[in-house]
Amino acid sequence: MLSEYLPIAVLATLAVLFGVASLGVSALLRPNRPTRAKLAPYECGIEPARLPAGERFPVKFYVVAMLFIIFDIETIFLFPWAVGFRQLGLFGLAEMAVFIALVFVAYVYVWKSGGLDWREPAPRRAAAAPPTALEPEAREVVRAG
Amino acid sequence: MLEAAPEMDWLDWILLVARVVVVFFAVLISVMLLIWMERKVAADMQTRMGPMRAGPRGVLITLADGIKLFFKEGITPTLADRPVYLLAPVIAMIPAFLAFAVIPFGTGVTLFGRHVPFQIADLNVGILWVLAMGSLMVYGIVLAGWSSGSNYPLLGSIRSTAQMISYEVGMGLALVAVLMYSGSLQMSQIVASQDRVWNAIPQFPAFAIYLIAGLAETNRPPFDLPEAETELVAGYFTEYSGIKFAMFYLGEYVNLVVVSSIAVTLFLGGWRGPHPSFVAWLWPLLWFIAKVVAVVYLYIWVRLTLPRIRYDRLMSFGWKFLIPIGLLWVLATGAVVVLPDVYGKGALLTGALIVVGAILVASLLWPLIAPRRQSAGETPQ
Amino acid sequence: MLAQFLIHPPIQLGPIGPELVLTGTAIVVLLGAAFNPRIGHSTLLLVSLLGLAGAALVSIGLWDWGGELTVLAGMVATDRFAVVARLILLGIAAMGLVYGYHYFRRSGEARAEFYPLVLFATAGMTLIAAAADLILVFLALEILSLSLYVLTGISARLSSVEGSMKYFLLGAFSSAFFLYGVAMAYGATGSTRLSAIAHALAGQTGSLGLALAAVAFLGIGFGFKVAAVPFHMWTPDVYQGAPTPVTAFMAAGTKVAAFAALIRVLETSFQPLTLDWTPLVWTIAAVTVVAGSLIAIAQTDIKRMLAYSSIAHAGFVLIALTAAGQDGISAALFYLLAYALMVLGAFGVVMLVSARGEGRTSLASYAGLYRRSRLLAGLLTLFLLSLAGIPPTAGFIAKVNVFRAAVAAGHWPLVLVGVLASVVAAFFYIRVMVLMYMQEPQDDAEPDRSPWPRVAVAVPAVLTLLFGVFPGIVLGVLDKAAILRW
Repeated sequence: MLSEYLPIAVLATLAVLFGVASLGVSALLRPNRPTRAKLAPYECGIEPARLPAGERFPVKFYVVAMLFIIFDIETIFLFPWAVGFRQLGLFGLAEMAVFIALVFVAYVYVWKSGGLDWREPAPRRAAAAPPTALEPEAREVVRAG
Repeated sequence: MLEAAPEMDWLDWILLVARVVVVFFAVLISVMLLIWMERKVAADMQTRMGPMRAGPRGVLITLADGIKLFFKEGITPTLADRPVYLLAPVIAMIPAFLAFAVIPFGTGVTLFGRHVPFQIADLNVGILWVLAMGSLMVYGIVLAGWSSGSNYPLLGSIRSTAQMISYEVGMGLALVAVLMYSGSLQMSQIVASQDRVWNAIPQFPAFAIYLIAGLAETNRPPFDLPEAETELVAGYFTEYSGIKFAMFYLGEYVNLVVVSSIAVTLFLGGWRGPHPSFVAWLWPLLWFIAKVVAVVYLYIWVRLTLPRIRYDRLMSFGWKFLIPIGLLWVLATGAVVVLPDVYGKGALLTGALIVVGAILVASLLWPLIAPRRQSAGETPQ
Repeated sequence: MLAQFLIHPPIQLGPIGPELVLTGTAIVVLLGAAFNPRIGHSTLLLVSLLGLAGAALVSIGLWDWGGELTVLAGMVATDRFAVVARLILLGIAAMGLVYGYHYFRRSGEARAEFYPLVLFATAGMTLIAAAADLILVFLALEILSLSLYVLTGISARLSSVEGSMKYFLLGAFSSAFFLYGVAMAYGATGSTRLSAIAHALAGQTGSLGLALAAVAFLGIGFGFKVAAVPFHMWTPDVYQGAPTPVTAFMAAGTKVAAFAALIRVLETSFQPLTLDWTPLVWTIAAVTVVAGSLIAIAQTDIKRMLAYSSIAHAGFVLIALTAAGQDGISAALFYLLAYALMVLGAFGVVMLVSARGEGRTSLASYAGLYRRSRLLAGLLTLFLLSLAGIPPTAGFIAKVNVFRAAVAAGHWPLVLVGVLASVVAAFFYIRVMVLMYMQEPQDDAEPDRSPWPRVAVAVPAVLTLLFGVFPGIVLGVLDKAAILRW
């Protein structure tokens, strides 16, 4: 069973060897004359600095990551069904339709509540929500989107 | 634990290693030719000459570039995380090669009385292997962006990750549809199931979804936001130079070869095609190469024709169109395959499949061509 | 080849009808609010309550279920225990929804997601009460926990978010323990079905050591959910941080649901090992009542005090569990019912005293409550008396029943510990009453004077009194429900 993976192991070894050898040989042959300016991080004419506020990103990216997990798992659930769905017949189809419909409900909810919009949502604040300690920092996020 | 099958002797081992080595270098050479082809096609479409000097009609230009990059000075930025920074290009390159391992590029040939298949490994989880390697490729990009210790690579890598995972769902759904139609995860079986008609015809929506998601997965224009020069310099490999840069470049083009090969294998009948009976092992290989070149040509054409898409539209296209349409298409395929078994076969259902497919494709393409209504709160970013 | 694995079990959806109604309603409410953001929350509340009523009707219809003992491949039990537990839980959810509607409207944090989340949590709770397979127990546990993590953090306050985070981390931790327990039970007996585990253990075909380890790990998982000492650390912070209606719903609902499942697991699948797990439950019960009562004395915030009191009450239910069999189960069910009533009532009063949001939950703000609102002071007195176990309240009957069952099973030292702890606990309940009646108000903050929430809080008060004076009305039903069929 696992012997099927033998050629892949050989290929992986070859690829690793190729990568490491190129790096190594190139390191031996190429010139190496570092200067301070050369080694500085790239920046367009201003002093290079790390991103402000310690690499914080818009929460959008986290939302995308979470949604990806959900939908990727859904897709993975589809795979075993797709292999056996001819034998499962109408029952399997109905079950899968229910499953997909349920995930679809969540999807529609996320869509309607703006989870899939990449634009900044219009400010939607609760009428009398008290200011929290989180807010001042929360504004200092990096605009990467 | 990898155990060799008991019946393997030294000849089998030599054939196995030789097969892998040949495929590996064939992929490298194909990348070389592919880059040349892209430059030539681009030049042709822009009515200029393209590379002419290195080799006949400039065919060795990539080799020349490679040799140049090999001897270039390597720069490690001061803020970089050295070990990760060094490893990232290798990590980005390896999964691309590994993904190619499951693709059948021909029937096989008999050497020294042994059958040598034109496929590195015919895994019974072929499609899943491809998806898994696609996910691993994200690591190289994230690590490169993070370890560079610089702003633009970091932004580029985050963007790239979000983009790749978003389109991976759509791609996965397209693959599920194919899988339902073919009834197997194994690449050789999928090719075998297309002996009468290519999957691209009954599964056209899945094919369209796959091609679009493939563009996003390879970070190619018009989905090349992660390395958009005008915004992010060069995206996640801004800080890379010399051989390390070459490796990212190599990984990206190997990935293009892989995505095109999978498109051919799953949708365009793989290596199948009419051929004369002499030198029977050669023709499938040629058919495969011809089909891959056709798909790659399509990708190059798209690249040269369409402008870069805006990031918010890229994300909303992936999430709001590809995924629902993919889901509906999976259900439609299921219904069309299952219902005839229960209620008897009929031309009605085949017709229904075509209608549903047409509607889905139309709704897939409509947002691209429809005049866009400017809503009140919308401001371009 | 594949087909033989793909034969599906006969589908009987009747016994999970309540859950189907609940999730269906939740989806309708969720999408309704998503598609129409301007929808009135009173509509959402009404639809949710109708869903709860429908689920209750379906549950009652299952009282005389004549079909198989378990359905859906042995996943769901169809006994009357499940019916009664479901009805209690549905009542708790209705109270939680009504509280929440009022609370969030007043505090300005109204979010439409509150209603579907409560309904989903309730579906998880009712499902866990009927789960006849450890996998389903775990699944239902996760459904209710995940909804509750979000509900805890539904307010924007920092303490709410912090409580949510703590609850989530410790909850995930306990889920891991629970899963280990499931895995060990499977390893010991070759099945996750409760009846199959019981048969394997009774026939001594399984590995006993592994089975005991399974009991221990499952016990830890449940211990977190019911907040038994030493797995109670999250309780005060979460109860204090969560918005009060959520606290009321969570304190009552989780405890009832988790105990229902614990009773079923211990009394069916691990029934052959009763002699082995009784000392374990015995010890935890003793530690829990003592620690809960003692630590509660030191609290200066009423929500934290009630949290520790709820820990102590978990200990009393555990005392009922040491008396295995119908008596113990019946006593535990009545205790859970009484506990749910008084906790819902007490937190309801806390919500009204705090008036808006969480501003006034310190014990000091209860000084002179009698002068501000006689009704609220009176209601709280009733609930505190019931919590302390003083007649004529349901809390008294509940404690008597539990102690009687435990003594009958020969656990009189444990009962002694329980009685002593009750005396200690009475101290801090009475301290609140002293504050309310015998001290002057320290400020002139007014409690919430809206009429309808008072009616809502009066419902558990009336029932507490009713069950305290005429316990026979429910005891007959509970006795019938106290037989687990599997």
